[in-house]
Amino acid sequence: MTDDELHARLRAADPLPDLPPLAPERLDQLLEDTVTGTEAPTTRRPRTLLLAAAAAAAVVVVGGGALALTGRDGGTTTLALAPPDVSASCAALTPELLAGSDVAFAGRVTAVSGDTVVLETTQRFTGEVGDTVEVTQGDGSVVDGAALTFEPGQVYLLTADDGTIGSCSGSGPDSPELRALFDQAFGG
Amino acid sequence: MSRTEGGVEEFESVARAVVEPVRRYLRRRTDAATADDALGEVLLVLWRRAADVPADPLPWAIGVARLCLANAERSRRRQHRLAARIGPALPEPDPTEDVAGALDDAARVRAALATLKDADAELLRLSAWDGLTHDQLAQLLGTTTNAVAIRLHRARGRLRDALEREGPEPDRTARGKEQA
Repeated sequence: MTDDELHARLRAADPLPDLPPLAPERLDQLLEDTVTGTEAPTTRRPRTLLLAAAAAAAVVVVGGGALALTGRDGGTTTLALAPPDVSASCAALTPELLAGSDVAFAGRVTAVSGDTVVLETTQRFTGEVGDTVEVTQGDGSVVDGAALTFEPGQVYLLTADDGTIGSCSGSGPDSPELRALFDQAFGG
Repeated sequence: MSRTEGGVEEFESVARAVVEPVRRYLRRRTDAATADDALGEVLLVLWRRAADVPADPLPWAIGVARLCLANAERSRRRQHRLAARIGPALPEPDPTEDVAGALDDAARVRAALATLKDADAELLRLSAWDGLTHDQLAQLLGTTTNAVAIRLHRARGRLRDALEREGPEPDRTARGKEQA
């Protein structure tokens, strides 16, 4: 099977080959609504939409890694590095966004051995976190180049939501800016 | 927010250029309502961040759409967890799979795609379904065109392997639409 044949089979597997374009008047309305900030009558969740868009409006790169909470054994929480988001664009972090996290903590990297990163928990903001956190790095076959890279000795501020530290979760190296957001989100 | 007339025109020009590809990108990956919401968010970002939109706006817009979709999935997971506490879990919809589920070649290819790593599968989808060029993929992924070519080559190899594991290719004449 040549590349062209494979490509043709892939294209034939497109679940949506025939989506008709938006009606011109519907598109006009959509663009007008965007610019004027008013909502189309058919929009069901205007407030959510606006808030989410406001957050997305200031795009910052936080990192492409995603960590999955795979288990907890006594004092050790184990996390695995899941495939990152293809896009390196993340919504601007807000305290509100962080505050929704299940787990938030600060950890210092005590060891990096092969694919395993060990962090010592230095501060708990919310949720249950062991004294030690193990993170299994991905295998490097990531699409995105912006995966979170753990450096020995460095302190990281990490959040997990639904057992996953998402690529846009706000997790990153400790910095005054990030810490201020965490303090705001979790009340210091 | 105050914008000049020129700003509005520029936004409209960019938005009209990307709205259909972004819309199809979203609808291939989620339900219609979520796609509509995400499309509105993408347009708002295009409007508010007009100064940051690069010369080729499509990869950038797709990147924003990915983010919006990820946010929507995140809140959906939260709702599912809440629902799980008060009742039976809701089934995970697969917007890309036909309900009828006839195992034609398209379904076989989609099943094979699903066995690949997310990064490989998404790269193939972005290329074949969303029609992004190597240059556009490089911009979206923040890498070089060469790296994209290599990753695509490897991903195709893995898809071939997955398809072979699925069994021999069926009679090609029996397949559905060849082109979108």
